[in-house]
Amino acid sequence: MNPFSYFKKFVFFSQPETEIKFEIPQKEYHIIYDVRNEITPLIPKISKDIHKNITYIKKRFSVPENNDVVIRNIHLKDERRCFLIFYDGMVNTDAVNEGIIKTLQELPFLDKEFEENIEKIPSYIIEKFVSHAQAQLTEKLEDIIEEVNFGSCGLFVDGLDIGFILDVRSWEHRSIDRPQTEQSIYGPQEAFSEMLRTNSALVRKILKTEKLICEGVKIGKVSLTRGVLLYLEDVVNSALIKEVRYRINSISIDYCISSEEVAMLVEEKSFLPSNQILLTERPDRVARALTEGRVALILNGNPHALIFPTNICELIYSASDSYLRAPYANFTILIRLIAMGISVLLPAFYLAVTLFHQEMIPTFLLYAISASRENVPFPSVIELLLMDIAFEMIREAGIRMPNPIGSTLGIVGGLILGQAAVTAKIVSPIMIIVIALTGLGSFATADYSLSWTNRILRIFFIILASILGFYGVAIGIFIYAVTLANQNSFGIPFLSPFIKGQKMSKKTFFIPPIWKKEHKPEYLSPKKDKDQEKISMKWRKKKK
Amino acid sequence: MAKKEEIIKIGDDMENFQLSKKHIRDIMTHLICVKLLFMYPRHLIENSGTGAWIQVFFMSLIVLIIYHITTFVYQKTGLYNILEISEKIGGKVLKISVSILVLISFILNVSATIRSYPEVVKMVLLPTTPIEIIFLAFGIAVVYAAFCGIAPLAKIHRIFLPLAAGIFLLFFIFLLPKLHTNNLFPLLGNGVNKIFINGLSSLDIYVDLLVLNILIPRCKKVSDVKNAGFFAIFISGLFATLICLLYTLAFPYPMSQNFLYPVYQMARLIKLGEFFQRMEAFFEFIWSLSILLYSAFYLKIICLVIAEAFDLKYDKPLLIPVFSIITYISFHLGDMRELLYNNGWIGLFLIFVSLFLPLILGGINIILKKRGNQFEINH
Repeated sequence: MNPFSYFKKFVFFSQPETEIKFEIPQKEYHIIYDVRNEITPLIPKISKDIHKNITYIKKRFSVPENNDVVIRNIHLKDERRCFLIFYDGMVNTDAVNEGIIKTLQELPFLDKEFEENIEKIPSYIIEKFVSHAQAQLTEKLEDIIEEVNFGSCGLFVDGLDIGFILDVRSWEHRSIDRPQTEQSIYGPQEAFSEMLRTNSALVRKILKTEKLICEGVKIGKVSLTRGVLLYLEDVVNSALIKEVRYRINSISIDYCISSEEVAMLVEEKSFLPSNQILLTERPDRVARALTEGRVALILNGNPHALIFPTNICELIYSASDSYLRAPYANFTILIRLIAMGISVLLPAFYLAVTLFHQEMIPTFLLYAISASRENVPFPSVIELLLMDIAFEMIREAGIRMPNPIGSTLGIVGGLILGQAAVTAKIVSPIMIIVIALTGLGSFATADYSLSWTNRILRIFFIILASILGFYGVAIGIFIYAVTLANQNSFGIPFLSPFIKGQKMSKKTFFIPPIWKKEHKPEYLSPKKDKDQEKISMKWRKKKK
Repeated sequence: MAKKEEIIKIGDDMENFQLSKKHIRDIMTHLICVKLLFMYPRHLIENSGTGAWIQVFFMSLIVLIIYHITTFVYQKTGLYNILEISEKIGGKVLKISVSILVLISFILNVSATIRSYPEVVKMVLLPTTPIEIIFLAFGIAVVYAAFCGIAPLAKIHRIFLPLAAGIFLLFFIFLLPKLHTNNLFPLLGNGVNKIFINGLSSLDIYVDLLVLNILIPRCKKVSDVKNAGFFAIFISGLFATLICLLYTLAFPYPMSQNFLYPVYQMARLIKLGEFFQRMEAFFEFIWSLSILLYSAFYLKIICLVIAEAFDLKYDKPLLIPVFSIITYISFHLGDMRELLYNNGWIGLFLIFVSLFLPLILGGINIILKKRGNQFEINH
């Protein structure tokens, strides 16, 4: 060992080398087929020789190491051999037994007439004997392998260079449940589950039109996660759908299994605090977005849909706003806006006032604050950061804990810790009020990711206020406003309803009564501009 | 990998952002009105006494007439700014010369504000904080905003202006009980001569109209520029008249000459019951946002002018050097605002470059164009 390395190890306390040293080899070269590099498969087409097919399939699916892969050999009546391949647990066993194996075993003797016209056999088998809803033929081995990986059953028959894909998918999944993060008293109470087709059907159930397009997409070179792009063909701006399609198809990644990952891969700026794509678990919200001219993406195995594009107002609305009368909805929106303002700015304002601008508060309130801080040893900023970090810890711990313990933890953390901290004179009672109000404001934020944004911003504003008081807060607001104004979501400005020509009848932060929502959002430039007639309540017209 | 199809942007293209009529209207109104938040009303009072508001009204009328003539000329030149027109007339040499005049005008104008603002913040909000820290924060915010470009700044103007207008309306309403009509007399203040003759030197309140000229190529139609300019002059004139009138009504004449920042002083008068005793805090807040927006916009415009004058591909690398130069000038030439008011030549230079130079160059361009057409017809 050279002296420099020795010195480095000595200074940085390098761990001693252990005897058992495991290292993952950097590269393995014996992969027969790497989907990442799209190497031409060894057998691009299905062979007439069943032995070749079965040998390749076994290699490709790593049988017998891969023990949930089932390869079932069957002899037909004419002693012709065939085999099925499927994953145990991903198929409906009854359908395989009754609809496929039994049918194949009972398949009548294929006479000479068929032998001479061998190309007719596959379609004959499907049309006459396969008692299953979805069955298709293919010459490509890759198609069968891909479908088998997604829960279908592959069938190879000796002497035929055509294979069968039989859709017998059936796996355990969560049933449709109530929304977890977007609860609403009014309106539908359904949320997406993890099944792709169930989710697309939930949207189709609401929008009963053939113009609703469910365009299939696959994301991830290896994971091949399936999804559907949903849009209303007669409403959506074709440039928008092209852009969404382009971005999704351009994702070059091995594994991408969740909507959240896709959102991170298609958003324009990764390090902005606010998210640029709306994530929802409500089919009604997706349906409403589609009618406005937006595009949605649902991925298999995900209970959330992505909505493109989005703007600041969409993140502020809650799912229930659409089902409330305008005064009620606007009142709740106002409360939420105040709550958001409090969650971001209250601690910073408190610091600014107590540290720099004491003259700005009335004298008797100033006395009260001073008296409450009399025995607290820390400066206000340390006190605030201590309590804020403690609050964030309680919140994080509450999420990790099971539900009953989580709520108990919140009470224990919030009440007992707060009370004890005040009694021990580590923090002042007024600080507990500030932190509690901030926390409430954070919980009242409609969009979960927006509450994350607000939590990060809060720290930013606390730092600015502790250095420069109100002036720092004003600078922070200015920088944040410029950042937001510079942000785009799929071609629309993030602050769109305020800065792009918006007709008065359309919603901004506050929503108009339903009869006044005559136009679709102008910033989306939809094919159809009108949502309803000028007078939608025809009964108001005089009867003839 | 998917092939990139022809993508038609449905929203804004940040690089080639075109300003709408509303954007220009808001930007210009804001740029002109910002100066009224500083010492400007005091200088008007010093000049015209209680007749300051008449002087502002008169100045606005004169500027409206000049602007009307300028727009008449520019309707024939098309969507070209003063730099492009000067290049057409006299080639690169004239373009660079005009650019230098424009840059001097912009830098003199903005450095006065940049100098005043941190000092006001130190005096009013942060008396114990070193001015270097205040200025550093200011510089970071301004350079960052200018770095983001014209598009976000224009968008923020669309949100900010109605907000600021709302707050000033409240300001006006709350101030009503503190106004005394006796303070308005004598109505003509220091005399007709002071108001209408000496008052002409105060036209430099409208020097920001030069920004409108620079922005012309970024607008959609000449009519947009024309309408937006008229609106901005009208609204800012109204605002200026109102501020001067309020200031005159709120404080007796001799006293009103002594306050350094009249609007701030008026904000201190507002008291709502027992609790809201210091409403100027809200005012400070809007003030800060306004100045930051103003400075960032000017910084960006100056960099754009330099890039255009010297055919530079990018203007962003200029931001920090230009901001440093403005800072240096504002801190080393004494109080820029005082310099502007006390040195009549600087004021005249600003008025000439901003109000008359575009008119002269536009006129020459039209004459040359007509001669060119005549020459083509003759040959």
